[in-house]
Amino acid sequence: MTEAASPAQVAPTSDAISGHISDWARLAAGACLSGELEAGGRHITLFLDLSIVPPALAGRRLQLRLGETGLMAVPLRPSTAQLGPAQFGPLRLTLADALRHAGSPPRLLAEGLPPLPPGRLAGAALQAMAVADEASFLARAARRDGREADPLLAVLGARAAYRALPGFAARAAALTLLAELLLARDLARLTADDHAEARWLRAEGRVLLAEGRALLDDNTAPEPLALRWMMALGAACGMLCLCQDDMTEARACFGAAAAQASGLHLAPEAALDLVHACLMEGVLLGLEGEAEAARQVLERGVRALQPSVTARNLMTDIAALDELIAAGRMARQCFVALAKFGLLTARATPRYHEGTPFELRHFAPSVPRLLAAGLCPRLADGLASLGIARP
Amino acid sequence: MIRLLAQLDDSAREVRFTATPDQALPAPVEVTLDGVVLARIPAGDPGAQTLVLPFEALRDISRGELAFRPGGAPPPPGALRPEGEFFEALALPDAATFFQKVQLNHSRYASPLLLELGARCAHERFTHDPLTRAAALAILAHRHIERLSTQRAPAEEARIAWLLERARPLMAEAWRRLPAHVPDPPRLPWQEVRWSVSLATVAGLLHMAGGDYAAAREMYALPRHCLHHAALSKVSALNMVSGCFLHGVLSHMLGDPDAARASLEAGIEGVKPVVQAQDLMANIWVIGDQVNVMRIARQCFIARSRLGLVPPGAGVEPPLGAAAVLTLDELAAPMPAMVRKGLLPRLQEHILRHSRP
Repeated sequence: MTEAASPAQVAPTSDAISGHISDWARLAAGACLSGELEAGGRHITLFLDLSIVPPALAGRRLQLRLGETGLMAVPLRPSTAQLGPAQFGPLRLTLADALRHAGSPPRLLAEGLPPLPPGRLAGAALQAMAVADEASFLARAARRDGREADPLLAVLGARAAYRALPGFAARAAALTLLAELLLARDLARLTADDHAEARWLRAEGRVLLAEGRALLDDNTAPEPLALRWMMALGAACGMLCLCQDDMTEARACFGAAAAQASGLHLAPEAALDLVHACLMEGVLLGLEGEAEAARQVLERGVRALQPSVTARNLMTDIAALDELIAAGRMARQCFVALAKFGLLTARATPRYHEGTPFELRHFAPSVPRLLAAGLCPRLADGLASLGIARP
Repeated sequence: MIRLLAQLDDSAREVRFTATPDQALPAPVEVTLDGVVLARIPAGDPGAQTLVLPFEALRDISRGELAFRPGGAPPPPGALRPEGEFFEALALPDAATFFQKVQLNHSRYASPLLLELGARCAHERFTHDPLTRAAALAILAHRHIERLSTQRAPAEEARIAWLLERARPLMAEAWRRLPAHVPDPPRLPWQEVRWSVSLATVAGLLHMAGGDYAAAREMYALPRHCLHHAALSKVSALNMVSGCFLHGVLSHMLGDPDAARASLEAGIEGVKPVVQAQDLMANIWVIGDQVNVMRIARQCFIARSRLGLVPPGAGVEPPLGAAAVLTLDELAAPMPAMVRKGLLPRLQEHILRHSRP
């Protein structure tokens, strides 16, 4: 073979490059990257299937990258009828790496060619990590029964959305989901990793709540989804703070949510979060002796029931009524708190029966769980002084 | 002059009547109340005479007319001095006293017999006051419902029939007086809504317990109709939404699915005006009541779906889960107790047949 005949030494023509790009696009379009969470949940197993490898690409090295991390590099061989589709793998990706890169789309690379995504992503883990558009992510987040059943997959999905989606509402929704997933764990057995995750969520939440306040305070036409997820995020972050025995920051988080009550008619789906935030902020204020502030926020919690009901579509989904019933029971606890703190003014007719107890079962479910886990002893002591026994 | 003292013993369910003449009478005298003998005073004996009557012997008192026998004429002025709450309950002077003594929780008589007699006599006395008469029958109906069992004595059946017969014209009158949902309806006194809805609700229960589900359905049409008057009578809210549920379920059971769907949807949507009408800060019971209203609305939602009343493509989603059980237990008292006693077998069977997917 003469030197001139060596393809490696011939400068490619522009026609050859565009031909390669076209072949490269065909390869990527026919590529399927699948990923499933392994039993135990610490790794994701990946396979890459190439349904077609155009002959012109033979010999090139194909790389698969997630974010800036190269997952594999393999030489390409042209597909033939005998060999069938080429499959590469299994590759094992740690969950920690997956979480770090959630939101970064996987890409195929080859020297001199533009990076392209695989034509198809398959498997629950990869589909969870694939970022949907903002509207469909928010729609899924809003429906509790539409969320991932596997908490690890749910974490992957929410992390991906938090990293990749730009809007305030989507990021607040993603962070809320992450906080709720943490709160759903066995609170009596939180690990050091869990607490580190909670600290990260709180730090991110602090920034996002400040962003939300800047966006919503004094806004005469607030965006309903921003309102909805501001209230949810404040309520969820407040609970994380209580899990780490930080009553001061918890109060601020609940307060950030409770301050949005006037917009509830625009975002009635947030009723439960709002009433929960009012109840918890009111109780914390009352325990600190800030009577007037406690009265205001607890009354806000009671009154929130009306806009929640009137602005809600009750005809199409029973979940709306389920949530409103829970919100009503929680609003009643706001009234009980007003009575327990001595904040009810007398009226001509009786307003309260002395024997009416606080009912912890009508607080948000994570409240009795965190008290039972002994995570916020000062709150438990304060509630005990109001007649709530430790669960 | 004869002093006649009535003393109630609620635990023994009897009344002790003690008649004491201020002097020996020349001839024997019986004192009667609507024909029931309360005292027998022999001639020539100035001592106290006692007669103990069981509640049952006094339940049919309705006019509260005291008389002397022989002769049967009312005692001349000053001849008889009845004493005790028993006699007071038979002759409450006005509607305000009636509500104070027979209806309001904090001021009414403690004895169930007096509540019953007070209500029955008020119905007969206040002939030109349909609202007080409706209230009296509603209160009376509650007493009958408390005593209901599958084995009813003929006398009790007759009393219930008496009550339902008197409820019918009052309900017809209420339909005439309560305006439909139109712009600028005439203003109504709140009692108009309150007592019409209450009477319709309990009369419906008595009709069902008697097996007349069609008559019950007619009764529940009124609370449903009154939903748009919720702001006038906030305490009737639970009865209004419950009326929607029962009218809906009974309509389905009786083969009228269009009416069933309309009523159940009215019950779901009815939560809005009901909650909007309340002062939630008034007292703690208001919020509890609203939660109960929403629980019934939830049953309306479940019934609409479980009874197959949602047309395909109507946009109701997702399908109901297993936790959404159609039940009568979510209704306010006394309904669940009536179901447990087996008083509503046909309705219960209909609900059970559709309770789960």
